[in-house]
Amino acid sequence: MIFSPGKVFDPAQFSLVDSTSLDLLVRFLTAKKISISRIRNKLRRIMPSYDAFTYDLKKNEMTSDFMNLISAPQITHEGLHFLISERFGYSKPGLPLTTLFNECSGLGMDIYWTASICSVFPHRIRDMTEGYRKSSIQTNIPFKAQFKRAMKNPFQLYQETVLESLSVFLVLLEELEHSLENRRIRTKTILGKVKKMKHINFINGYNFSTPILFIASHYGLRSTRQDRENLKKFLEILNCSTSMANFFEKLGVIELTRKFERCKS
Amino acid sequence: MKMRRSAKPRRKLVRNSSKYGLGSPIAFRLLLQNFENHPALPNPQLKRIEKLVPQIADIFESSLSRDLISISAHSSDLTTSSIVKRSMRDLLLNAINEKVRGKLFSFSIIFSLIDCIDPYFADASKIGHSAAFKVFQDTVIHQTAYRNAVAAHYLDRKMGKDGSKRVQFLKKLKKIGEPKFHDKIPPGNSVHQISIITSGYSTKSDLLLNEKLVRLLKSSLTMEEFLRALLFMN
Repeated sequence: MIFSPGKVFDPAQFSLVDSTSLDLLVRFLTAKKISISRIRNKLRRIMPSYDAFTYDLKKNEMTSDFMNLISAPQITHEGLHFLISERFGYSKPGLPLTTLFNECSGLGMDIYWTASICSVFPHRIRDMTEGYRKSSIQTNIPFKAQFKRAMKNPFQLYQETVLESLSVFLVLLEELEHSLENRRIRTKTILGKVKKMKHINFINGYNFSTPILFIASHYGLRSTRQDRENLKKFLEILNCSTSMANFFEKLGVIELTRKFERCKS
Repeated sequence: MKMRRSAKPRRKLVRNSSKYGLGSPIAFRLLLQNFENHPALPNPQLKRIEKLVPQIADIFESSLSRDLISISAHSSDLTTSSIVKRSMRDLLLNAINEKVRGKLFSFSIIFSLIDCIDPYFADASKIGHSAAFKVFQDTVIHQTAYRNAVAAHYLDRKMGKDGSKRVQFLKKLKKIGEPKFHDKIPPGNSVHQISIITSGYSTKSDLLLNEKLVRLLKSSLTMEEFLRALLFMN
């Protein structure tokens, strides 16, 4: 089943808070002819980690949340992965950093939408932030003040979350390399990095080991020059973007959508 | 003058250790002795990291690091369950001569054995060691079948055939049924760990070793017998 704008689940409230970025990615995914995979949905039900286990953007597939419909946060999350892959290259040997920043870009999306919706509909704060509040009890980092600031500028929060998680991923990647070379793992360095994470509440129990293990087992840890240049360019784009839609535009969503639409016709 | 902290590994057990091995004392003693031969340094920082970022130790398990062991969150001592798990791992690595490359499917049963050893001792104190061993055998066989199916699909994916074999994989998983994973590591993650350890391929000797371990497990009547067989396998 091919993805189309009609497959967006409950788009009304998301369109009210940020219609531009959602529309940009819906158009991009439609032009790219992304399919909604039924077999993937079934496999995910039997083996919940199936998506992470066989993640492959080259297959042009997405899974649906409910009745072949896809929620807006998932569309922007998955759509951004596809967009970054088109811009910087799909996962392959020699591009571990590209794969990692692609993964990080999706990480902050959840809290971006939560903060955006709560800033427009304050009565929804309680039910939408329950998971984050629970996480804050575990991490011992106060949530309320942090979220208040986040609601003022959700995109800034997104930027900070992506940068923080990326810095943790880079340390973990380095330490995995050390341990594979039978060198001592510097747990103190990792702990220092993790402790510095101010936005750890917003990642909500995310399993950092899955992407690292995925990359190490499928593509290896060697990074090429192209890979390092990709990372530099991505950080440049992220830092100079002013909003989510602006970020997508700088990643080239409009040009890529036109390119796919031209191919279609 | 500042005193240097001793680099000696701390092998003190937590308070409940006296109760832990009661159901199967000989097997417990065998594993403790084996742990003494392969000392591991406790790492309190690892647990502190795991509290903030869950399951981070999975990354380092894939390097079969000898000097790291996650410790109890509430005390600075090693937990009995972590000692038993680590000892089982070392025993199995010793049994296969530490030759890990190309042993993709053998590690399915090795990971299942490590995963099920802690629940075995819990069962042994409740239902007796021979009944607990039967449960252990069934669980390990079930988990191994599941992990083997996931590992086979991993190899399909490496060859770019996973798309066409997804229906087959789905049927296989449905037939095997969802096993109970004690360590809560998603099977996909554990196959990635196995792939890093074994360089992600399988040889003929791998299949023979896998069969050998299964035979050894099925032919043993008690855990003690099985552990002794592993000790003398090398």
